[in-house]
Amino acid sequence: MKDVLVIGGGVAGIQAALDLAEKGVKVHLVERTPSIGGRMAQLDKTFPTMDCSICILAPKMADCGDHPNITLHTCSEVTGLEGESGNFQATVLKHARHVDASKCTGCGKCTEACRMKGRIPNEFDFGLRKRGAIYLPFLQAVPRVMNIDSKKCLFLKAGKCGDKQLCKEACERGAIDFDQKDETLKLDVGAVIVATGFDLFDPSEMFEYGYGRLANVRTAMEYERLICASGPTGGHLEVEPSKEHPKSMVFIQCVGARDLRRSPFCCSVCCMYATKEAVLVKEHYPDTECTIFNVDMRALGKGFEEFVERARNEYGVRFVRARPGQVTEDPVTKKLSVWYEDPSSGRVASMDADIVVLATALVPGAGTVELARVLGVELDEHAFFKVTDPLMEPVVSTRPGVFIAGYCETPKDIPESVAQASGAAARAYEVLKRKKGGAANA
Amino acid sequence: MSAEKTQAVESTRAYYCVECGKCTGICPVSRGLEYSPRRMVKRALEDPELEFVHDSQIWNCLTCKLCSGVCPSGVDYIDFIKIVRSRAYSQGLSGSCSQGGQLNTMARLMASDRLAQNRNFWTEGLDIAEKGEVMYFSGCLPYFDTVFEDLKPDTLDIAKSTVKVLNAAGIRPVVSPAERCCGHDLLWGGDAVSYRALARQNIREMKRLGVKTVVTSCAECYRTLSQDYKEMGADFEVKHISQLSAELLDQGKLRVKPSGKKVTLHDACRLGRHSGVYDQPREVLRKIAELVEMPRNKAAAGCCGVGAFLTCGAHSKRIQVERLIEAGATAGILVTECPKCQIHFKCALKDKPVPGAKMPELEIIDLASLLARSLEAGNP
Repeated sequence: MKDVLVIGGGVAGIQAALDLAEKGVKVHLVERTPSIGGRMAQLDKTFPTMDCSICILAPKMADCGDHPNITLHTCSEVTGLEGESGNFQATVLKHARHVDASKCTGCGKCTEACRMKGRIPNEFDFGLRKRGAIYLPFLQAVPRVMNIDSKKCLFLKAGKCGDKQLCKEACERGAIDFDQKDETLKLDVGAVIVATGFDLFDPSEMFEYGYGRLANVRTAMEYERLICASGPTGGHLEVEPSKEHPKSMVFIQCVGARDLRRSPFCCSVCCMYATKEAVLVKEHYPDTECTIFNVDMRALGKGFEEFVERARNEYGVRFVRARPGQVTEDPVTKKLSVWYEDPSSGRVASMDADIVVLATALVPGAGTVELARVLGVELDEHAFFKVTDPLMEPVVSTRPGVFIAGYCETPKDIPESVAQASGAAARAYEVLKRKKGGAANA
Repeated sequence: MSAEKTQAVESTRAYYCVECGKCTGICPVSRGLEYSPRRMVKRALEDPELEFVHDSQIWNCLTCKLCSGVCPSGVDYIDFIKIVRSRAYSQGLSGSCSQGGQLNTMARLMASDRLAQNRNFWTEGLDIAEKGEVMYFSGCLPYFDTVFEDLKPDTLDIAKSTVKVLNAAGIRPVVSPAERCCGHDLLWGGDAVSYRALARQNIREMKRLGVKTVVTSCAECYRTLSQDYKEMGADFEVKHISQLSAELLDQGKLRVKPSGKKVTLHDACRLGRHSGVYDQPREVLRKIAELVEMPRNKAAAGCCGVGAFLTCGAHSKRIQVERLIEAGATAGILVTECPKCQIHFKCALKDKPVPGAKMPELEIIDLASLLARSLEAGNP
């Protein structure tokens, strides 16, 4: 039976890879960044059950890394797809990590030694923590192999790192390999599953909310890192510059989403994650006032409405139906004011906040258009991957043998992504079975 | 449904309003008066004959366009207000004009095509032409110094400076004694009939003179001539002096010496949010001074507090003082690109209208004036 190519190592890609591997299919899981895990790895808790996100995901990541039928290609991207359903030849560009994966144990001694240590914003924590030029993306990274940022490494950039390469000296196993080159792999696969997830809309273009200019305005994803016990502040929310914990928090929903001039679609998760985030504040600091400014609450999953009601009644989270027009800052105290139209009076009102959290739009990943071109599949008007029939074929792309799973198809939450991934895996398996039996293309 | 209603709610996308109130949240007027752009839109949607135009609230809007800039539905609120006011005016209603209606009356007087003006008295010593392809449109500048004598705004200096800058680059602009007010204030005050009369006369005069490019030193003239005159059949190119001088500086046709002084720029709504001109005034300022940005700049810029000389009240003063304090905390010199912004700020600086507010030490000067002072001797 032919192998399957899965593109994207988030929860959807992981699920699809595991489903197929368990059926005995060899899977190539291609991930652009140095570790699989995706967005779910960055979340603190999941709604509505308040499970620890990485605690749920990490075992699946480890299964993926250890599975005899799964080959991980991290730091890699798909650059070509020839052939047809049941008989594709994929080209994968594997960027050099400059670390020999067979020798590295992820001990971290190189990171400690790196001259750039603590000077480069860490992608995983949205720059809230700093890393070195050689680093492990995050604690639970799979594979647990160091990665050298070739754009930041002094030696790789300029050919010189002080009088000696400190990381190389620190590594007891001789795993560091500055001569490692990018590789191009040719893979014969029967089917392809695309699960590239989403990117975050950058709210700094919306001057009204002051993101990037006002220190205490954060995005929801930054908040997830800040409230996480393994995050940059050990799970303590800190107000700048006092570093005290917040007495009042405001969550602004649909920032750049449901906006006819930006992302007109609903991200489908911000109502629920904001509720979760407000509940988390209350669990950390019961006296902190939490207000969620929403366009309308969309709590339509199993147990969602009950979760919102609990947030409101048990935790005392306030919900206000309004889109704030502006966030201003007192130049001296740095206290924020959120300006909005009070829906009960129709008059302008302002609410004080120590921290404002912006629920930004979630948009198709930056490389989506290029990937669609490479794969020869169509995108919809928002650059999500098109399926041939959203009703009856929700995983089938416009090219036979290529299947779609997760957020990159259309906005959805974690369980829906997982379900769609299993669906895509099943359809990919069908292609392989049919091919084996000598039947026509799927 | 009336034709105006259809126009007010459809062409302006008011139908798309989702009642989120974001407009009210950012509106500078709503923080001083009871005012909600959202509720105005809602009333138009619920009121087939636009009877709500009798409510004086329709005159509160500054048309600064902050609300439209942040509206998730892209509702063109200021165009909506323009249409609503036109409807109101046609029913004999009008806003309470500051300056006792003097400026609007002058504009209406100019609507007569038999009016002989002595509007070029200030051009002595400057090199101007009677006919040609480049015209300098001086707008209300020849009148402001008289109307606002007490404030000593020296707006004529803006006109003289603009021509000096053009002369320095070897341009002899047409300055027409038959020019009329561009009609901006009448258009935004609802008097569309008089506005159109003024626009027709200006366009006719420009065609007669063979004008291909019109230079303005006023953000409101710029918006009116470049956008609103298009609907009236104008086919000339319009450039604000900041745009033209940025080009001339770039081409080496204008030589300046930098002063090294710290200045900050107040983006005029008509040039900024209405027309998207943000970079060229900055390019010019960087060549003649040290430009420091206020926290609220470009599309986020605060307002000068009054639009079209309508409803100047305590809320306007609060808006002006807030902006002046912001400017004073940024630099010692506030540069304006619209004579009206300058007048409004100078008024607030002189009057100190907000008790307890610590007014800054601030010099207020127009970009054209500052540029003319920075010209190097020996320009072509």
